[in-house]
Amino acid sequence: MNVHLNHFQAMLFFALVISVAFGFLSRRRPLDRVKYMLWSLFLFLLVGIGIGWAMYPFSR
Amino acid sequence: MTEEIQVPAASQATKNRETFALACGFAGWLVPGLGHALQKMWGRAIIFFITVGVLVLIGAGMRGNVFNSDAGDAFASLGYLADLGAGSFYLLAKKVEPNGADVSRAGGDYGTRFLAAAGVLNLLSALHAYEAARGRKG
Repeated sequence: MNVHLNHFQAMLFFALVISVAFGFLSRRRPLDRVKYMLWSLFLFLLVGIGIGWAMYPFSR
Repeated sequence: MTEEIQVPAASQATKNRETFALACGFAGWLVPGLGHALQKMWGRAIIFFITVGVLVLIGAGMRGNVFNSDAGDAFASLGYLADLGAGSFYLLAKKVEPNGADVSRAGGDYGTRFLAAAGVLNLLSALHAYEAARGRKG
C-alpha cells in the first residue's frame, strides 16, 4: 500500500481526523461536537497556513 | 446496624467499578474504541477506531517510521512510546509497511507524525474510557 499526499493534503487530512476525534472526545451533544470540530479544524488550518507563510521568507 | 452492612457493600462496589475502569482503559489501549464499546458508548467507540485506524494506515502507507524497542536515541525512544500507544494497531502498521520506512521524502516524515499522532490519540481515548468508567466523564 503506497499513499502519496502533498503538503497541503497531509495537513488537511491530519486536521480533519484530529478535529473529529477531539470533537467526540470533549463534547457530548451532537451539535456541540459539530461546532467544536469545525472550530478546531479552522484553527488547525489557520495556524498551519499561518506558520507556513511565516516561514516563507526563510525558505530559500 | 444498617450502616454496618452497607459500608462493606459500597466498598465492594467501588472496588468492582475501579476494576472495570482499569479493564476499560486497557481494552481501549489494546483495540482503539473497545474501552468505550464496553460502556456502550458506540459513537465514540466507532470514531476512535476509525480515526486511529486511518491515521495508522495512511501513516504506514506513506512509509512513515515505525519505531522499534531498540531505539538508538532519546527521540527514537519517545517515538517508540508514541507508536506503542496505538496498541494492536502498532503491529498493523508493521504489517502494512513491509518495505520499511522511507523518510528521505516529505511523505515519509508526515507518515511518521501520523503514526505518532495515532498512538497519542489512542492513549487519550483509553484515558477517557477509564475516566468515564469511573464516572468522572460523560
